[in-house]
Amino acid sequence: MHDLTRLLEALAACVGADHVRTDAPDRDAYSRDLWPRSQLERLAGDPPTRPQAVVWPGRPAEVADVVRLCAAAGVPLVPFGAGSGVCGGARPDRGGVVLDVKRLKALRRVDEVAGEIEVEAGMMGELLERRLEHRGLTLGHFPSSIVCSTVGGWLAGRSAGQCSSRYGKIEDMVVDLEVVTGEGAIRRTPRADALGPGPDWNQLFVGSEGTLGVITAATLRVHPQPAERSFGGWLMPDYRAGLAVMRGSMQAGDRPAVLRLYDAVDTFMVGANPHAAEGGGALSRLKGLLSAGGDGGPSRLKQTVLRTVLGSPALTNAAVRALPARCLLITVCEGEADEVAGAHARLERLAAAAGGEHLGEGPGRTWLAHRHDVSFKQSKIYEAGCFVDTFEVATTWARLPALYEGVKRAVGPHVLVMAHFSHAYPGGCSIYFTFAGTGRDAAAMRHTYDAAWRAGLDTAQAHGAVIAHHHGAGLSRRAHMPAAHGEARQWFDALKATLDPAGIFNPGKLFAEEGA
Amino acid sequence: MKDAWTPHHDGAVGDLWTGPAGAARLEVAEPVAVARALAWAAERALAVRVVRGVRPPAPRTLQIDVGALAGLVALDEISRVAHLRGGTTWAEAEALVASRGLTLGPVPGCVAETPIMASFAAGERRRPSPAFGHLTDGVLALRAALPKGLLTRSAVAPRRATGPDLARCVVGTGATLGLAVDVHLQVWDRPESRVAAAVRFPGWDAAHDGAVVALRQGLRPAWWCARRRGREVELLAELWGDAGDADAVGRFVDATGGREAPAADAQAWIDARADAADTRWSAQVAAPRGGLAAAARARRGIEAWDLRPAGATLYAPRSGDAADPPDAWAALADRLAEHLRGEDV
Ligand SMILES: Cc1cc2nc3c(=O)[nH]c(=O)nc-3n(C[C@H](O)[C@H](O)[C@H](O)COP(=O)(O)OP(=O)(O)OC[C@H]3O[C@@H](n4cnc5c(N)ncnc54)[C@H](O)[C@@H]3O)c2cc1C
Repeated sequence: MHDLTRLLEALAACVGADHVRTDAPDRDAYSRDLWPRSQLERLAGDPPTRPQAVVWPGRPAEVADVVRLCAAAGVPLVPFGAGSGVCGGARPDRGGVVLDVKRLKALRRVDEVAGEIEVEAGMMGELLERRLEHRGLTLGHFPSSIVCSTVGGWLAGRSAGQCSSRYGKIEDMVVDLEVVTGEGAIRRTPRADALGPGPDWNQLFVGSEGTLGVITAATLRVHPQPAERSFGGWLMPDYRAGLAVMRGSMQAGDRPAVLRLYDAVDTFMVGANPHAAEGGGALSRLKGLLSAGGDGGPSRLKQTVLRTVLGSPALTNAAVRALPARCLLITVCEGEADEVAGAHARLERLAAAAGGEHLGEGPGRTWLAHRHDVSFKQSKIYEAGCFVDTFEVATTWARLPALYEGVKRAVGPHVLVMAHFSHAYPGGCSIYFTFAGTGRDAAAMRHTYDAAWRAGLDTAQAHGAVIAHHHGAGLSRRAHMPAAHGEARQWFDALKATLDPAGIFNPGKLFAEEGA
Repeated sequence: MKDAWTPHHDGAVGDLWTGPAGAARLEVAEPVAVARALAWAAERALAVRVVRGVRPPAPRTLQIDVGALAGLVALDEISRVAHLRGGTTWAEAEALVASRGLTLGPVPGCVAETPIMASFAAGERRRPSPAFGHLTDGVLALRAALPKGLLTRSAVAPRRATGPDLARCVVGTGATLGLAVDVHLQVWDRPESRVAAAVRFPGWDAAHDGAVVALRQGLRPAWWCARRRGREVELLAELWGDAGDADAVGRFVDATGGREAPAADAQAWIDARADAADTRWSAQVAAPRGGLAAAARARRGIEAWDLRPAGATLYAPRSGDAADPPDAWAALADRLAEHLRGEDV
């Protein structure tokens, strides 16, 4: 206690007393991110561990001071962006100090000619994109959470925006990083486009989820705002036909901004299937229940029905299999006119050849207009005594169908499951599974929730897929990380020993600590 | 050259050859043999060099001959992914996938005979292709042998978010952090046509600007370079595409805004770059946008291959080793290697 008091005084001396908080609401707010399991834990009366303090440094030098103080005191330090992570990565499970980077929010440099910006890690995504837009630029990084996530959080978690097929994931945009490592040094990594001998440190810090240092700023590539945009929507005979279109486009060397294919259930849920009536009224009601719209949320009756439906996942999944197999494919191409026209024309040819029914521009335009509508419906589902979550995996084109079918089969006994395919590359793409379930009480819900996750990730690994495409590992995938990396864990341990000798940075994340 | 080596047997690694001043040579045919070799070298504090064939002994260096660790393990023609063993040379790899109508993109002569494993260890950067990236870029999975004698594992996928990209530890680090024993690489349909294009500009900056405009219009040559020609600077490119695309050169010239020059200039450059005898090139300096002229003035015969909006990298015939990384990072890389070998740091 005495040591903690001394540490807090020292922290206050370096970042200012106003920027160190120890009161309950702050510690409570910083005890979790948006990992849905935290909510289930709370409901089960088992809330996550709170940090002893939250600090808001205003300059990289202050970050370095905080790191030095925590290292000297041996106190865990958890970097925190906006807490929109969905894997528990920012949870201070060992207590200690949470370091919120949001006061580091300067756009330090915009170089239109070089197509680069230097931005601090605490800059919120949407704010950054708006400031770039004023200058005719775009980062091209549009995660659905753009309004509630930071540049540092994106980098730390290998985030992907919705336009990743054109602009890449955040790791593809990095030129260099400013990081504070464990001994409290502010370092600038070598530029990715001018690497000498030695590893590409950028790619070792990107994805490190706060375990190797605090990212304080980054140089990122930016692009001119697209001159043209084209939209496409097709109802494909089945998801395999949709995947063939996505693959054909990417392997031809085109770079459409968005290729998004909903499976039959998700197509139905997004309400874009003109043949949806074929699915029957019962399913329409399920959709209404899951959407749980209306200001007041679902009525008690609806809540009961939702619990009943999700309480029999095997039956519900069997029922939704009666839906027509048709799948909605949305495409957006952007860039200069010629490139857009060429990529769009190829998509039209590929979709027609695969038996797609052209739906015009509507689905693409609607999607674009609503792409940042962060869902506030989740809390209504929790209110109804149910849960909903997502996980994204990725593999090569050849393995996608088996992976998709396998995961659905494995998860289906536990929860209602649907998916969309997005983030396409020449070699493959990601599958984003959404699942919803319930249990007779909070403990049973957590049990079912864990079973669904475990079944999903076990199956992904059995199919040779990667267990995360852009949400990171945090705590939610930690149990599967040893199998994902095998002996490559040795590299991580060596990195940790090199960059974080006191072992303070976000302990227990990515990999469980030895002996834990 | 074999005379320089004496046969020897070692309980840990089997048959090997020893040479003067602590030199050793080992032939490996399996990934696990590479792992064992690395551990053996680490115990003896030997440097490691990956070779194909017999090379002269070097003091305190273990030569790992990977000639028997070559070949195509599998080719996924749907995903266009080639699973190659680390001892395969780039020329062999290209020939293997070419026989199935696929390509790794252009393979410069200066790397053609280098084993994939050695290129990763060296951090190969001599194919900065706008269309295909560097040779070591299109990796969907990489399995490595570690200095402690173990092998890593990795799922095959185009991107992932499972922590840092740990496989980067074997790119550009010699063999200090491990060696890539096999890799899954992105391959592409072989182009139906390859055409050469040459465009002239009044100076370096104009050529660079022209290249950037072309990139922004979505034109991505297989490879290109800017270099001085008399008082002008020429941009030379090879464009890969569909046979039906008769206007590829016209679009490229228009996009760059330069003056069309005889395609023979470009073809001669392409032929020279692809020539297996052309082993000389190395990256020299990275120049920022607008800084090409000044950087180029410092050396004759320099070519800008890696033209990007932010700058370009200038390449020249090799004259000694490439620049060291900034000191602080080199020291960290050393510490990383020591931790990996389990040494007290
Ligand atoms: C509704 C919703 C939609 C989402 N959609 C997407 C999407 O489309 N694409 C996508 O990629 N993700 C998405 N996410 C997940 C989440 O937004 C991303 O993981 C995001 O990158 C997290 O950013 P953050 O600033 O909130 O980081 P946090 O949640 O605060 O932190 C995430 C991790 O990064 C570490 N960290 C944060 N900042 C730093 C720093 N400066 N230095 C070192 N480590 C740091 C933390 O310790 C933690 O481990 C979504 C989340 C929600 C809730």
